Amino acid sequence: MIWFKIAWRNLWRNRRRTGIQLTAIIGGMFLAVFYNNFVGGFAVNTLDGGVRSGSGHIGFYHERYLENPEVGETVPADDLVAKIEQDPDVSAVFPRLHVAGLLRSSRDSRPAAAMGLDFAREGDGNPMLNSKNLVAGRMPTTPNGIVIGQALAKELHVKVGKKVVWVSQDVHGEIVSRLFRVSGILNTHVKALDASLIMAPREAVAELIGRPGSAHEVAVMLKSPDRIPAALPRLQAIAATAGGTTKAYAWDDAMPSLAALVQASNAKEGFIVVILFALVAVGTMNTMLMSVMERTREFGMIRAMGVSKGSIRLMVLVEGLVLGLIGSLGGVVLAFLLNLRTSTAGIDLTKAYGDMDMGGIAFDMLIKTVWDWRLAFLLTAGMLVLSVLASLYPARWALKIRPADAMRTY
Amino acid sequence: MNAIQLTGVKKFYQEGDTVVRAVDGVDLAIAPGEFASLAGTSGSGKTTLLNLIGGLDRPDEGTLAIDGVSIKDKTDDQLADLRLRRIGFVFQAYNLIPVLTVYENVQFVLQAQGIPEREHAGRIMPILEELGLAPLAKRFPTQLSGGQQQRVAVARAIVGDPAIVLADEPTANLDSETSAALLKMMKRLNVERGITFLFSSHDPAVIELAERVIRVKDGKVLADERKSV
Repeated sequence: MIWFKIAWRNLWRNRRRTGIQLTAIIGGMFLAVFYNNFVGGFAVNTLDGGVRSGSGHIGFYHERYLENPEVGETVPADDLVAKIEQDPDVSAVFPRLHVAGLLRSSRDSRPAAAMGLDFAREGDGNPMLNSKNLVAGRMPTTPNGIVIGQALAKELHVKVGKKVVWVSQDVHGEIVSRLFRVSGILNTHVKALDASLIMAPREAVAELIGRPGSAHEVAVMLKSPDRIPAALPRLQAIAATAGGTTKAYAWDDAMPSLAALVQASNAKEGFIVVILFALVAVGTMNTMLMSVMERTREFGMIRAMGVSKGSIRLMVLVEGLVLGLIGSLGGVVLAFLLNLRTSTAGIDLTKAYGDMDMGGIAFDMLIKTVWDWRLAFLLTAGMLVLSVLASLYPARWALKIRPADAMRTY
Repeated sequence: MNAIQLTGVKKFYQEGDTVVRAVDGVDLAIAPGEFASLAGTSGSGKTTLLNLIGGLDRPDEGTLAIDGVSIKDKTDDQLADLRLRRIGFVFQAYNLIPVLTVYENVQFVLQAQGIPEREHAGRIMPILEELGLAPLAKRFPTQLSGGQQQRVAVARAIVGDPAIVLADEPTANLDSETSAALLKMMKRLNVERGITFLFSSHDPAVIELAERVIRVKDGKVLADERKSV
């Protein structure tokens, strides 16, 4: 107990120096924790948006589709959906078709990518179908209804209610076409999508390609991403019942580029934390060394009294630990208070970076930070360990003080 | 068995090209319970001699024993333990820990000795009472006069129940009246507790109060005078 008392009081012997170092630790800790909250929020946004408009937490595909997508590589969606929905961890199932082709209006024609989906199922769950993206009309309610990107609509000179013809290949390679009527115009804020995307009822697209009830992708949303390891084997078993070519994949296997993006964010986060902590550690070492050197005579006297080297080492390390503890807690509390606001109001990066997309997936740039107690605890523990490590050299310096020299010289 | 026994002890320092013979072949025996003074001018070797006896420094030659046990082959940690349990120190500049109160400064020794905290008050308060420090127990060193600080240093030196107290110029920073009072207090502790006191001084008035005066010059013992009291 006396070591903590001495450490605590020694810290305040030079208030300015301790204050400056505490500010550095609090600042470093705050930045580390809050940056983690931000990256956590970004990862949740990216993952959530990515999996919702992509493979889901777990996606069902024809075994060759992910490597080399072909129109004919479908899975029997209607059969699968009924079985998948029975799983206790599943919250939503989105069967989709993806077909490339040509969209013609009375004035022009453009290459386009048709997505056949169940509008009623997807609802607002799919970020691309978010009602705020609908700039005109409404989502299709009839088999011939179609939603198209705003840029595509402009290029084809079509408006809501106008007729367009979709031309593509069926599963046998034959050219097929179907007349649709534009029911809505969408602005996804992703230029590439807005210039090429059309969304039609899945059943209409399935009939057009000659494979009713099918889908190229069955995206399965779970109640929580944490349930993926538990649910995956069960869903893989369901895939096995749909013929030998249907497979179920976790999102990071189905969308490796999205997984790489999330991993890159985490790696960047780790790198920044290491840099921050290293800078703080150097500051702590300097503060502790100055503190020890100022007290050479005192340490000499303590050693003369017969206090063991272990106890002297403990004195210095505890001082570093207390410094780290106050700074860490201060930084965590600051980050927590700011997070109370940014976790609800979010941080809007649209003005700074504009809209962001990857592989046709649009991401929400309003980042709501995520508080992670486990990581706050780990960062605090890390800072404490670092504070103690940074105090090792000053402690070693204190141990080298010879009492007779200390009394004679200083 | 002598409390302190020095035989042919030498300690030299190199200062530039010059070898300083700080202690030069000292033979000395201090019996348990003595109240002795090392007298000499500044630079005569008193402090070096006390440092050697206290195990703060090691002799270049000769042997040195505390309570009959040679300290020659002891490690730094063993010497530290010897100081902690058998020797109390009083320094010229008091050297109290400024962030601790009077009580805590004294308690620091017991803490270092590993004595359970529940026993601390029972050992510290009687000493503070005896030295007239009880009312100052919660004060910090900066709130005390020089004489009061040196009394705290004495309390700290004896709380661990040492056999020997070594005091290096304990009155150098005190006025003559306070010096005399401190010496009388040390003498009382010597008599009542049987602690061996060896203190250095260059002040004749202080030296006068010692029962035995060992006069040192140029690192050698010039005279060893015993007084009957």
